[in-house]
Amino acid sequence: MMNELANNPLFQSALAPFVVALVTGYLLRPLGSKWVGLGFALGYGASVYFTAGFQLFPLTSTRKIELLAVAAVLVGVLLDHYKYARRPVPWVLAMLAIAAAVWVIFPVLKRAEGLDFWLMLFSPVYAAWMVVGFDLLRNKPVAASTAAVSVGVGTSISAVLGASALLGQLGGAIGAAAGAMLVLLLFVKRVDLSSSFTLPVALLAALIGIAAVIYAGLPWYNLLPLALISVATHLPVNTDWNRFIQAIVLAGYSAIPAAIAIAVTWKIAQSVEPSLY
Amino acid sequence: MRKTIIASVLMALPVVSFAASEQFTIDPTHTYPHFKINHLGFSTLQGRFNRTSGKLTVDTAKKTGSVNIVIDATSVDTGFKKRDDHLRSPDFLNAAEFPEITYQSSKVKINADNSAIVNGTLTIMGTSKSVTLDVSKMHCGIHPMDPKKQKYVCGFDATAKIKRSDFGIKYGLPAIGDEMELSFEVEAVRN
Repeated sequence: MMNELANNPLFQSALAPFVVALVTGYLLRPLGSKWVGLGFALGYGASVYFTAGFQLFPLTSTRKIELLAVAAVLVGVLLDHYKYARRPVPWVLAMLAIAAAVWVIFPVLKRAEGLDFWLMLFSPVYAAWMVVGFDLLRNKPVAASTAAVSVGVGTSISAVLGASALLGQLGGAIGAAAGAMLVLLLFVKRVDLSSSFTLPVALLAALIGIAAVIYAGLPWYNLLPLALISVATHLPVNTDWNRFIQAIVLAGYSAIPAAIAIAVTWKIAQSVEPSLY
Repeated sequence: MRKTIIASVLMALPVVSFAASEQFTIDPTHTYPHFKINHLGFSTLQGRFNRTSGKLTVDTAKKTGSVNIVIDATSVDTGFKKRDDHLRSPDFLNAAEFPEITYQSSKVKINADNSAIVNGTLTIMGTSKSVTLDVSKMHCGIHPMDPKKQKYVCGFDATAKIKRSDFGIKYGLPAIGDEMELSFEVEAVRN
């Protein structure tokens, strides 16, 4: 019974990350409102444990992504809790995201020639865009969490339809764990989400999307709508509305690019069934 | 006279050594690794890899040799492109990141009836495990279709069983079988 549950993809990439993120996020509140964001990382980690395990070697692209997620959490915590000059931060994050993306795609990049090589350089640009885009939401927790849910769901369904179920499950875990953060934000007092949440969300979503393109054949232009999700949450929202209404409106804004990404993949895949079955 | 004999013997040594351990290059048009795997308990899915390269050595005197096979993971073929794309994805073979599956023998024992046991290391997705190939019958000889009657070929059929989870391929477990049956049809031409 427990084995069946642990092997169920919905449990692995939806229920487990949601519940773990919700519970740990809630328990972290006494440490300070900004520590709640770590619940996302713990929820996502639960999904990794069930889907791929914590094995490190051989160091595949998927395992590199998990390692980079841990690094992103650490950098996010530093940004949340230490004073620093704000101006260079987006540039530094962009550079780190570019380096991370190059590391993940390096096994293929080093063999690529001609046009393929130049097309692959789209990947680091996408990673930098995503990380900086979500960094701009670090002081807008409702917008950040709705965007995180949309980017997770969009990446997940795109990957499942067009590329890889494993990457799809990992993308789904982003959406589920971010959904738990949104629930805490809406229903519990003294909850804040900042860089320790936005940085790992953005880097994970970017790198999973890139891996789906480079390693699993997802069309690169599928990432273009996903890149617009963080931008969409900057659309005007009446701040006089309560948080629930704001969240619904922002979710609507961010769901549109995610839906476009899914529709594009659906059109290409021409089937909702995974090829295996 | 004695010097001439010694010189002749010394000159012949490399030739004798070459004759004892002959080197072969795998013929990719007659070498295909096949696999069988249980599909959701309903049937047994069969597939193969279309591109393989490698080297063999055969020492008929010592009844031993070596096998070095490189399989192009991107050439997986089950007769259905969409499934093959999925098999190439990170869910299964992660072929873009790990384009080669390799088998390197460590010990070969050719029996009197020309069957053989090959101990070696199979590497899939960067994970290496010991795998024993069971060679049913090895046959070497001049290729009958070669007009010059010079093309010397060695061939054999081999089988092995592996667990894909040992190599980190865990997608779809336990619904899609863990145990895989591998079979190799191999022909190689003497260099």
